[in-house]
Amino acid sequence: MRATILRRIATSIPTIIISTMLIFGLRYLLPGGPVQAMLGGGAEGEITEEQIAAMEERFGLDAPVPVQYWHWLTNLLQGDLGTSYYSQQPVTTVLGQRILPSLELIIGSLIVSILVGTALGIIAAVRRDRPTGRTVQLMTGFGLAVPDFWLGAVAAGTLGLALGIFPAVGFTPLSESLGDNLYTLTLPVLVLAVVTASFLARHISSAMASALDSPYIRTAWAMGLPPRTIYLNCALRNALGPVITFIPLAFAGLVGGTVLVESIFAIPGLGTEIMRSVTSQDYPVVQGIVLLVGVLVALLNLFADVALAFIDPRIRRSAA
Amino acid sequence: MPVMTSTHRAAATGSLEPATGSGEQVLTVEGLSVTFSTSRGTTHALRGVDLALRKGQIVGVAGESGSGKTTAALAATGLLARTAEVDGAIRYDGVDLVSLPEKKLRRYRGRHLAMIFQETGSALNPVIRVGDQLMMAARAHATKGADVRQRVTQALADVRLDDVDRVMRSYPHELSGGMCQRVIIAMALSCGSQVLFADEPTTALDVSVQREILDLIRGLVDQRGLAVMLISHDLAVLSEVCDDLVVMYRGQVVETGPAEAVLRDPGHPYTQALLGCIPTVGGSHEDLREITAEQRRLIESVDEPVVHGSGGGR
Repeated sequence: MRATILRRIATSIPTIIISTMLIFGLRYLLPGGPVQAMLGGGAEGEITEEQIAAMEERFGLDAPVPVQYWHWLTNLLQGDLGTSYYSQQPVTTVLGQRILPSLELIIGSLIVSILVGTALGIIAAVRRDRPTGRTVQLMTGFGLAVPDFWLGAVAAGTLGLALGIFPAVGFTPLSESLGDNLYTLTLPVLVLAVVTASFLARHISSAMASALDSPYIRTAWAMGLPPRTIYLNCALRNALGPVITFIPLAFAGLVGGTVLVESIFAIPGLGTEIMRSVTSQDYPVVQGIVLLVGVLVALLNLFADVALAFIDPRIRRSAA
Repeated sequence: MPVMTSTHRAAATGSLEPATGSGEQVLTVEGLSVTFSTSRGTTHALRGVDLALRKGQIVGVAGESGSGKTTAALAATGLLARTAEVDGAIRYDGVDLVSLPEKKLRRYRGRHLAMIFQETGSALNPVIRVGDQLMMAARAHATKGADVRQRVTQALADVRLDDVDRVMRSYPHELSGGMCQRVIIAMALSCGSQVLFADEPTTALDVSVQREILDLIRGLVDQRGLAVMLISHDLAVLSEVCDDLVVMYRGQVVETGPAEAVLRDPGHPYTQALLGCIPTVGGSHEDLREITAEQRRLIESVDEPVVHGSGGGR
C-alpha cells in the first residue's frame, strides 16, 4: 500500500512541473502582455517606450523567459505568488481573504451532492424497472440539463425574494456568526449542488445497475441475504469506484460553478475574484487562483487513487 | 444393493446422518409451468414439470440449452425475473413455495434451499474477503449468539479446503476456479441448506477439477443427506454421480427414472439422441452426431414422457 502511494506521488511530479509552466506562460499568451496590463493598458499613445522599458527592468521582465520562469518558480516555492496589479497586495493575501467562502460553498455542495446523489443513484438502480426508479432518472436528467445561473436566479427570486425563506443575496462571513454564515450559504450551496448531485446519481446508478446484474449478486440472492445487505454491502462497494474517480472532477466543476453562483448571490469568494482578475488582466492573481485550484485537484486525484486501491484489492495488486 | 450401500455409508460416517432419513422426499415439483410475457410475445419456458428431490440423493437434470432445466431450479429458489408467471406447486416441508410472497420465500433461500452456478471466479464478490462473505451469509441465517465463525470454518473443512485461515483471508481473485466453487458450496452449507440446486457447477472447470467437485458433492450427499438437483447438458457428467435422471426437452420432462435404467435403456428418442452426443474413449469422431431435423420431428411426435421404474427404490 505504501509503495502504491509513493509511486503515485512520484508520477504526479512531472504533471505538476508542466502545469506550473503552463500557468507561468499564461501571462504571455493573453493579449497585451504583462507590462501593458500593469500600466493600465490604456490607449496606445499614452504609454511611452521608456515607461515600458522601465517597468520591464523593474519586474525583471527583460530577462529571458526561462530565467523569468525560474525566478517565478523559486518565489513560488517560498510562498511568494507576486503582487496584485490591482490592489498592490500580495496575491497570497488576496487569496487568503477570498478562499474561505468558496471552500465553504464547494465543500458544502460536495457533501450535499454525495449524500443526495448516492441516495438517488441507489434508488434509481434498485428500482430501475419501476416508476420510482424512472422518476429519479427523470429528476437527475432535469438536474443535469438545467443551467445553474438560471436555477440560481429562480431560487433567489422565489425562495429568497418572494417567500423570504432564505436571503436572496448577501453573505455573512464565518468569522462574524456561524449561524448567519450557514444561513446565507444554504441557497447557494443547494443551487451549486444540483448539477453535481445529478451527475453523481447517474454515475452511481449505472455502476450499481451493472453490479446488480453480476453473478456475485445472484449468488448473494441465492444464499438468502437480506436485500438491504445485498444493495448496500455487496453491490454498493463495487459501485464506489466510479464515484471516487468522479470526486476530483466534481471539485473542478464546482470551482467553475462558484464563478456564477457567487456573482448571483454576491458572495466575496474566489469565484468573484476569478471574474474580476480575468477581466482586469490582473495576471498574478489569475495565476495564483489557477495554481491553487490545480494543486487542490491534483491532491484530490491522489486521494482518489489511494482510496480506489483501498476499496478494490485487484487494483492494489496490479499497482504493487 | 442400493439399500445396503446406504446403510453402509451411514455406519461409516457415524452419527452424522441416520440411514432412516435417506430417500425421503424433501422437495416435490408438481405441474410447474413458467411463462414469460414480453412485448414480442409469450415464451413457455416450462410446461407442466413434475419432479422430486430426495434426501441423500442426486437428481440429474439433462437437456440442451433452452430446455428449461435452469428455469426449474430458479423457480424453486424464487430467483426468476419478476416478469415470470409461475403456475403449479413446489412443496418443501409442507409449504408451497410458489404461493409464498418474496419476503417469506427469502427465509427459505440459504437456510433451506441454495443454488450454485456455472461461473466460479465471478460468483463471489471481488472486493470482499472470502471469509467476510461467508460470515455475512452465515450470519444472515444464524440464531442470535450462534458461533458463526465456527460454522464457517467447519463448512470450509467439510468442502475439503485445506488452510482454512488462508482461504478466509483471501480475495476471490486469489483463489482458483475449483476453490471458488468449493467456497460457494461451503457458503450454502454454513447457511444450513438441505437442498442444493447446482446449475452446471463444473462446466467452467478443467476435467480433473470437475471430477473433484463432483466427488465432493457426492460425498456431501452421502454424509449429510443433502438433496441435490444437478443440472448439466452433459450426460457423461450426470451418469457418473446421479441416482435419478430427468431428461427435459422444450420445457417438458420427456424421460425420468433411475440413472442406470435411463442410460441403459433410453426410451425417448430425445434421450437416445442426447446419448448419441456423448464422446466415448476410442469412439471415432463420426460417431458424434448433432440432433438432426429428422430426429427433431421424431422427438416432437412422442407425447407422453417415458417413466422408468420408481427412482425412490432406496
